[in-house]
Amino acid sequence: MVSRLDVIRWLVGLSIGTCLIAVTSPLFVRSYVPREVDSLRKVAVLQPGSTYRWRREGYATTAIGPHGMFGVDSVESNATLTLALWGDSQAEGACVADHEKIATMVKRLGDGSLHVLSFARSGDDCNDWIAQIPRVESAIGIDAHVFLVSEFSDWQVDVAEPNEHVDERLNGVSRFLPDFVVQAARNVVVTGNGDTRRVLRFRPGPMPSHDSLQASNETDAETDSLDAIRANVERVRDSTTKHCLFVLATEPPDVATGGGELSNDSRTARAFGGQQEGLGRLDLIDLTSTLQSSPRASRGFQNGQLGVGHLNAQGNRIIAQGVVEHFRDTVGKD
Amino acid sequence: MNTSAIQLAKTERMQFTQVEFLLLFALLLLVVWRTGNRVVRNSLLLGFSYYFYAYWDWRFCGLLLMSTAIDFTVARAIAASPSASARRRWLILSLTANLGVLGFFKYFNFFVDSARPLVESLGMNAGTLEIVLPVGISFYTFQTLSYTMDVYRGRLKPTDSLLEFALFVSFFPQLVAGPIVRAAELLPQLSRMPEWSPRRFYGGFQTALRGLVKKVLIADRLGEMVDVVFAEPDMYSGGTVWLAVLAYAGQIYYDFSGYSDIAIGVAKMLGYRFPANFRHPYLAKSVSEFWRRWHMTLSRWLRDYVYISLGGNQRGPSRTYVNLMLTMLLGGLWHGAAWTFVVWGLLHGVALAIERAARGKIQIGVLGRILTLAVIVVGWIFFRCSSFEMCGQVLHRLTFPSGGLNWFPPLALAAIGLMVADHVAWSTRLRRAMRMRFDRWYSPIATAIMIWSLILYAPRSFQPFVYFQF
Repeated sequence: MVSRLDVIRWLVGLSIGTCLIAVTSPLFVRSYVPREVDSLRKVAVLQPGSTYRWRREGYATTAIGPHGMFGVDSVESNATLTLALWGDSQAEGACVADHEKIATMVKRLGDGSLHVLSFARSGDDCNDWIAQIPRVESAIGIDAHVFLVSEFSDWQVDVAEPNEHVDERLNGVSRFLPDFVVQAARNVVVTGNGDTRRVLRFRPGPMPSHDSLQASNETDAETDSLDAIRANVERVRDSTTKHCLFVLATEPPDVATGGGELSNDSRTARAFGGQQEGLGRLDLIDLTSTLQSSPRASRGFQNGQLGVGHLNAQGNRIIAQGVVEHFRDTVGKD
Repeated sequence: MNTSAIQLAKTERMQFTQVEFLLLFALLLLVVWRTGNRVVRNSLLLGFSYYFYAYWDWRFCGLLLMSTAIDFTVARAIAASPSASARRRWLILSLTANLGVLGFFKYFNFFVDSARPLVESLGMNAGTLEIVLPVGISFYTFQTLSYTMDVYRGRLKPTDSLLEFALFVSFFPQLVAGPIVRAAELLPQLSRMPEWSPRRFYGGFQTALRGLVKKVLIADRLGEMVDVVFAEPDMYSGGTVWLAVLAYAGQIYYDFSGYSDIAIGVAKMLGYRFPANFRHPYLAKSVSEFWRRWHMTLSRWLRDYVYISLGGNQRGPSRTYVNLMLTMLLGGLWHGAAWTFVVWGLLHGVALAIERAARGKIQIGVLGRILTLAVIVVGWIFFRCSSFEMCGQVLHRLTFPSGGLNWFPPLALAAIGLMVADHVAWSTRLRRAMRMRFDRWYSPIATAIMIWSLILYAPRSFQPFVYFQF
């Protein structure tokens, strides 16, 4: 039988073990910061003034600036041009330190002539960016827009009004529960890349496969997606008169499978012209795809898989360099 | 059709690391320990075992049933046969049926592909079939075969209970990836009601928990690096490839020994004892010792049913060497239908033969350990690579200084460090502490850390157990 002493020993021991995990967890677990709706952008952003810790892929802490911008401390600057950077998590750059983010690197490589305001948010698509462009352009004074195209699915969406709201319950959880408890609960509830709710399957197999259907529809889908992209780019054109630069840096094929061919996304990117008036197109797919492009890979991190996933400091530098050269040429021509 | 590789079904099989399994297993524990009737208990376990298998693909339960029916009938017929020739005929029937099914599903395309140049040079077309490899077929085939052969050799009496035999064949903890449990070990346990023991239950829980940690926190982390580097070895520096090869040595050990620990622990929680499958194999001073520490249930199977059947060491030195190499070659082929596995088996066979020839003549001490590790590590390259071309690339990077991408992931380095520490600790008195006895002060602390770590730090991408493919 289990004695009273054993029960006490186990309760105390389990508590000590949990405390040790709690104390060490900031080294390994990301932080959860409450969100609020920014009055200018009208979108939910992390609380300005807070810090955001990222650990799983890369190892960085980001200072959240005004309007929830990642790693940008001020809207004001003496630069010649102020650029707005739009994109998803690749442009947001939570995985890298502030001095290695695209916005900071552009500023540094442009010798202060370019000031970049990063409005990128993880999970955003073109509907989110198009809605914000008029708001920030008039209030802040944006000279040009830079769109980091890392997934073309972000440009293939149907037209929709972004539905921005802050879930106060989740904010309460982020505010009051320790990060490691939130992370543990999240790991149980969601699966895969962290966005998919875990669905339990108890039914015996086999499960139907949709591979053949996907393959047969691939060609049609490619044509449709180009049409959708062109329509959304047209919406961008309608929402601003400023210069827009599309930086193509779609993900390479998974190096873990040894694939060397262009991904569907990259093929679409190549097919996408983006040469209309007032639109710039900067193709960095090769430079941000291949591991051989530099002594260091441009994607992935030492604590994840090198060559896969988010852009690292090297990848951000390639993009920043491209942006600086583009605007140096553009300004030079003007 | 012209598909060269045997394909696995797309549906995921049930894994010990899966939430569904953990929920159902908790329920099963509740029910079976409340059941006072052995037949009801065994029926419940049999039902759950078939469900466990059907979770992947219910259609292949027929193969399990067939294997069960054949060996149950054949073993009884062998025992009832008065003459040796009749017994032999029954045994041949069992061997033909079991190995025929295994051969068709696992090796058909391999042999057709291997013979393709010859067949095509004769102007014929060597097509292949799109064959799905049934999960666990290599394991349960060996398990049922051992039963029939033990009965044939007079070491075991055939069981009268079809229920117990069916459960022995399909018992879910060892069904898809071992340990290969012999009938003499499991059938007697199934024929009596296990006694509830909190101590044994707790021991099983700790063993399973340790297995989960090995698999999820160590093997899968190492696998993240291994997969990337082995996909394009030419892209990385020699140092990184060295690290990846060592990481693979760690991955395969912790993956498979983790699985075995979970299987042993789960069985123990249900009241049954399984044989150990690993004893820190990288501590081995010789290749023969390695095989007494690595996948022990397969090693003894190969020894008892292949090596000894071939004559073992009873027919002179030359024949002994041939038997060793043949046994290991078959062992290699058992792991996978590819020539790389054959070479892996042959490499170990040659090493065993050399060791045997040098026994008592040369004392090499520490050098023995180093040479053993070298054979094992080089062997793992053939085991991991999908082609000889890739093996060549990896071996070239290991041997000659070469440039390329330097990648030394801290988690892989930490996991390799952990593997070294684990082996060193196990060889000292710390081994006792690693058992996590219930009444030790550190057990609850370590248990809490392990459970939290499993939830918090498991890699996002799910990696199936390496040995599932065999």
